[in-house]
Amino acid sequence: MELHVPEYGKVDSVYEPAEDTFLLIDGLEADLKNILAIKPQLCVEIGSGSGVPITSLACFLKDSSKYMQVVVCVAVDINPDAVMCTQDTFQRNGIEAECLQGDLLQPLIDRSIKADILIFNPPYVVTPSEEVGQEGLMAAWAGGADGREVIDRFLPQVPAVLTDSGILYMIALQENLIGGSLDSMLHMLPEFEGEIVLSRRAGGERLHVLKFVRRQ
Amino acid sequence: MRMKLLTHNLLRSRVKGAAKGYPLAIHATTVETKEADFNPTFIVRMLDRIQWPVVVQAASQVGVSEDKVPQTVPNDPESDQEFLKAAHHLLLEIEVIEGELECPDTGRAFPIKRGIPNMLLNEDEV
Repeated sequence: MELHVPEYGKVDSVYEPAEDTFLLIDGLEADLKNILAIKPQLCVEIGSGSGVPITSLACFLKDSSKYMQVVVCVAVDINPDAVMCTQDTFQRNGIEAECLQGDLLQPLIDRSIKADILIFNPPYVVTPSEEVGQEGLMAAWAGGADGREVIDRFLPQVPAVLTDSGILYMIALQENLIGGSLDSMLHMLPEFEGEIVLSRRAGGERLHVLKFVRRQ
Repeated sequence: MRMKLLTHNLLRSRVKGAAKGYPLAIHATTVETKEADFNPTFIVRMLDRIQWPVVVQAASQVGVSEDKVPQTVPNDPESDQEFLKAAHHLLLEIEVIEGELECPDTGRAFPIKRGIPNMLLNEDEV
C-alpha cells in the first residue's frame, strides 16, 4: 500500500468517507505510475467533502522519496461545511493546500494555470431531478436522472482546466454508464479517451474508477 | 493553508456580465506570511502557467513593498536565484486570511473568510 486513508474529521453535514471514497484512493494507487510519470504540480479535487482522496495523494507525493517536486493541491466544494472539513483534514495531515468554496470547476475555468490531476467523486446516485443540488448532505449524492445531472455539467468544463498531459479520475456507478460503456461521457470530452481503472461491488452498487486523458 | 497569491493567480470571476473577470482585485484585512520550503524547479515550472503582472499587482494590493517585487520575469529565470527566491516568497509565503476579492468588470465581491475564498455565485448571477 502506497496510499493510505488519512486522518479526517467528521461533520454531520458533510459526506463521510465510505466505500466510494476508498475505491477512489485505491484507483489512484493502482494508477500511481502514470500519475508520477506526468510529474504533477497542481492537483485539484472537486466536491472534496471530507478531502480524504486529495489528502491521501498529497501525503504520498509529499513523503515519497521518488518524488521531489512541490505539489500544490486545491480542493473545491459547494458546501461551506465541506470546505472547512477539507481544510481540517489537510491540517491534521500536515498538508499545505488551498480550499475554495465554489461550484464544480467554475472558478478555475480558462485560467492559465491548469491542473495535472483532477479528482472527482460526484453525486452519482440515480434520484429524482428535484433532489439534485439541494442544501446539505443530499447534494453530496443525489445525481438525478441516470445519476448524470451533475456529472454532465462537470465533464464539459474539464478540457479548459486540465493540462495537455493531465488526468481526470472520477467515480461512477454502473448506472451512470448509459448504454453500458464510457461513450456517453466521452461524447462530452471529444478529445479524450477513457478507461475503467478499477471496479468494485459495494452493497448493491457496482462502482468504477474512471480515467480520462487527452488522446495523444 | 490560506489563500496564497499563487491561488489568486488562478481564480477568475464567472459572474454574469464579466467579460474577463480577471485579475481579481484583493482587498485584504488580514495578511500573514509563513515560511515555505523553497523549491526552485517548482517555481521555474510554475512561471509558464502564471501571469506575472498579476502577481506584481496582487503583491502591491496586499502591501508588499515594491523593492521586494521583481516587476518582470528575467529572460533566464533558472539561473537567477534572487528572482526565484523573490517569486517563491510572493507566490507561496504570503497568505490572505480575511478580506475579499473583487471582480474587475462588475465589482462583485467574493469574501475570503478564514483563508477560504467563496467563489460561489447566486442563480441569477450565472
